[in-house]
Amino acid sequence: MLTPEQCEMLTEVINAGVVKAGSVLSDLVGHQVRMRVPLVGVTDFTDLHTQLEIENFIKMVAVCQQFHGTMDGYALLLLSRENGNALTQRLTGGQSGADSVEMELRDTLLEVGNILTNSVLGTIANTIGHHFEYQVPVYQEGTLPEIIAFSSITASCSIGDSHSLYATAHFDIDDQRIIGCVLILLTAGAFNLLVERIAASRAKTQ
Amino acid sequence: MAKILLVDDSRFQRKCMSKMLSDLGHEVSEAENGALGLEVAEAVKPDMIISDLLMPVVDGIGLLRGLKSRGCTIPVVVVTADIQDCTKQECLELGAKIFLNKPVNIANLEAALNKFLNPATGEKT
Repeated sequence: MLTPEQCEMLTEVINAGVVKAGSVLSDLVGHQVRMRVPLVGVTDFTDLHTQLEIENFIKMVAVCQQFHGTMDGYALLLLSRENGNALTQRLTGGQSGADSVEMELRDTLLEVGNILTNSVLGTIANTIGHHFEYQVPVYQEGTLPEIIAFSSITASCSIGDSHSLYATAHFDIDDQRIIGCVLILLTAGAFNLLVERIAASRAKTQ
Repeated sequence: MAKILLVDDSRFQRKCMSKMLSDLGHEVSEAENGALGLEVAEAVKPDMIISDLLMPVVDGIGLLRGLKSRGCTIPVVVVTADIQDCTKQECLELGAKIFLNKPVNIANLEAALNKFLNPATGEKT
């Protein structure tokens, strides 16, 4: 269980990463992207759908990036299929040169997801003075439980011994609202280490 | 006009950057990973290489190491989503001339190229 101070520290770092991701998204789409303050929290896998307000039957798209280092884990950019299509359309105008709409969605989201998850993970790494080694990201489609099952198995995270660090962000691009979540799946040990490292880096700067 | 080799596994990114480079008047070759990048570099002898880091088969770090071991002096600009300070340091130590974070726009791409290409001829200075 996190203390209020630990919660605040985590929120601060994740928020900084999501704000960086918003600024990167703005550069990508070439327009100002307005953001609501991201909703950051920690939960276990069983309660993730409640926290993210995503029904378990909704089709989602995700870009999943495994990372290694002192702490191993999995970072995901998660969007509803509808929001994934809207973001792809906004970025390519339907003219990516891909052979099909499916390929266009996959190619575009893979790259955007990579850039956005790196904004969050890189902010964490730079804050705690730690280096993450990244794997090539993979694209996944399915319901939230399907995507989480795939990611948690790959990340060796099991229910009861893992945490999901989540940030739900609302990006307004012109009149379109794109809602996306960045999830970081960590084993309990890695999560505790992250909290420890953030506290240490904060103590150093105070 | 310069010959630029673009190494990135993302089709989306290759399309965006290739268009920017063509708009700047350069001739672009493409490769989708570091291994193919080394082969194309050998064949095309580009004036500059622009490379991503996170790629399958051989990544950008592998490409930098491969170029270094061959004694290749073609300037390399790394363009990556990785914003970690230590990644930047590693790339610069391996011989990358410039480290840019994605997404790049045409202005910062042109500024990076102009540091190593003759603005008048577009060729390597």
